[in-house]
Amino acid sequence: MMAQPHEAMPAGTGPRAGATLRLDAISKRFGSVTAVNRVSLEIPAGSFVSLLGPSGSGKTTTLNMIAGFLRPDEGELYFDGRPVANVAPNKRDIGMVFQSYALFPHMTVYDNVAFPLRARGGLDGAAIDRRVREQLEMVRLADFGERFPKQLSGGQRQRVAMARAVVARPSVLLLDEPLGALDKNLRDQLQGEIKKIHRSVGSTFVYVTHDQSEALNLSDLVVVMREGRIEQASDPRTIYQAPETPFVAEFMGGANLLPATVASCSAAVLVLDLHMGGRVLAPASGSKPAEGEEVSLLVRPEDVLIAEKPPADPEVMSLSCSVLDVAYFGDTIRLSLDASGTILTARVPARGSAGLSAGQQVLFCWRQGSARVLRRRRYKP
Amino acid sequence: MDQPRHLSASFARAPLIGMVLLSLAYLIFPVVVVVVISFSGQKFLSFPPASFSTVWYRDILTSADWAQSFWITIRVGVLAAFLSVGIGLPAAFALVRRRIPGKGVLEALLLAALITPPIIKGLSLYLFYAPLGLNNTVVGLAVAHTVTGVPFVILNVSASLRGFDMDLERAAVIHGCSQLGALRRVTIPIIMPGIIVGTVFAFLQSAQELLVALFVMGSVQRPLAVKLWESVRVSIDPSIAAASTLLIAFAVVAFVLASVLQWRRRLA
Repeated sequence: MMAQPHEAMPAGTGPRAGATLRLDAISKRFGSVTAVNRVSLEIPAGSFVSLLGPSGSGKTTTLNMIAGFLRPDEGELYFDGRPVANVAPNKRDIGMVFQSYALFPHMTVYDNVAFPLRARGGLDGAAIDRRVREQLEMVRLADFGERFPKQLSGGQRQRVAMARAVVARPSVLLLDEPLGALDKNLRDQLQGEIKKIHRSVGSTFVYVTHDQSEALNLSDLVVVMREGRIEQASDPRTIYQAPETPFVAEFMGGANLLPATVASCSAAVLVLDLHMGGRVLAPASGSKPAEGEEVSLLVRPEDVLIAEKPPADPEVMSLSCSVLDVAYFGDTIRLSLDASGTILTARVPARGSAGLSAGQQVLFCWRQGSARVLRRRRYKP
Repeated sequence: MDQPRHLSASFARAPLIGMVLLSLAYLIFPVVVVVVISFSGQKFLSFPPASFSTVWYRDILTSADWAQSFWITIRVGVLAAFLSVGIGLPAAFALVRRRIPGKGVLEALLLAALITPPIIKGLSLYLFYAPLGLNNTVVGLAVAHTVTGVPFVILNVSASLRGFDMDLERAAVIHGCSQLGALRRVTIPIIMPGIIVGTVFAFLQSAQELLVALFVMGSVQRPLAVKLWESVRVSIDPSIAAASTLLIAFAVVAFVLASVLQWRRRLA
């Protein structure tokens, strides 16, 4: 029922579609460091986008330029086609959830949530009161209006910050690692609430995080950033299953990346010489590498099969290695394996793997079609 | 060695507590003496007094001379406090938030205003004011006291500003406030305790200051500190003690107010 659009809302406060965001080759330098380097991105109206990357990747700087706290050195930003690089933050129709929440300590929860409505003006007291009460109900804090932020738990503060950010139904909502300060259970629970709020308010959400599972769970579009550039921008499934670069594959978690040289490339399959030794087949997908090019072969841990005898199926590739460690997770086990100096990871069902133990010689196998060849990304200078 | 630890610890603490009490007594004793003498029933300064009365309070509170001194001190102090905030508040923002070349030098100069010998300040201000006709004016003394008041405001406000989370101001701006609106609605209210403490300090340093006041306002209209000084030289009846006690009470009230404000802020 919370996700239902509210009817009979005062003008300008009802749910409405978010804005389309377009970043057109924006750059930001701090001294000699280029924090954001010619980033271009199109964010559809009302979508949920995550900027994902390690610290120093430029995701927060990008967010601060969208907010208007930083002015890009080059390039332009468009909200619904309107250039905004020179528009003050308070004129951009944005809401924001800060990592530290930034709740006003001298105001009650009610006054914090009412703040954007009062600051923007245009609503009378009764309308503001109704909007604030509705919003507090939406984040299940209806009885906490008279409290001060210091009297709330971390999760409650996060919800107040969320309520304040969306109460004025901004066309863009920015979230800067909004769950970073919370423990895991609470994070999982609040992810659900953030999704629900996104559906109900319809704003365009831009979410900065370094947690890939958060990004995969919440987003329509995941933008992986590295050293001030966009490494890949795709939907969550594609980002995880079809990463375009070794960096993305590694950042999305637990990937085996085997460096290799392309020995030959026919139409459907590539032949690779692994640097660790051995020749394997790999599917040719996406842009095709040239003969002799250095690439990485990605094998996801969950696609690995562990065998004792060489497989008969020519579609199954194998590498011999020794078991370094067996970690038990209930439903699955994670194996660390040593293949002539390269450490590999495999995640296999616990059932049927009872006999595996450290020191054992096994074969690390995968179906040729489940692997991916990743080319190194080259940026134009 | 099987003695309980807290026992030996409290033995070790005893001399320490003794030292603390002794130091406190040393600091407070003169104040206590003045307060006690102010309630004396005798016509001269003696401690302890043989009898008690409030006659000296009645004396100064009904004396036009003392009343004028009080009034001047309050006018000078309030004006100096306001001028100090007017200059010190923007200066603190600039020093904390802006990159200014030679910031260290500026900060050192501010502290220099606090430690310049008052006698030198008094003399130079007197010579400086003479051609301007500012000697013997409330404004002149208030401006003189502002020189020492400004560092008090800057030190207190910049301490508050350094602890201020800039995201709070950003949150105000992104949610619809102008820069000025964010300052007015968020930043200033949050650093208000620092501003108030700085203002109280600026007022109190003006109210108790003697040397500069002696040079600048020594003749016709005398602020309380100058009046006290002169009274000690011509008469030694306990009315001076009563006036001093009132000055002390003033300071205590101001500090209690400032502390209550800070305590309320910590609660919020």
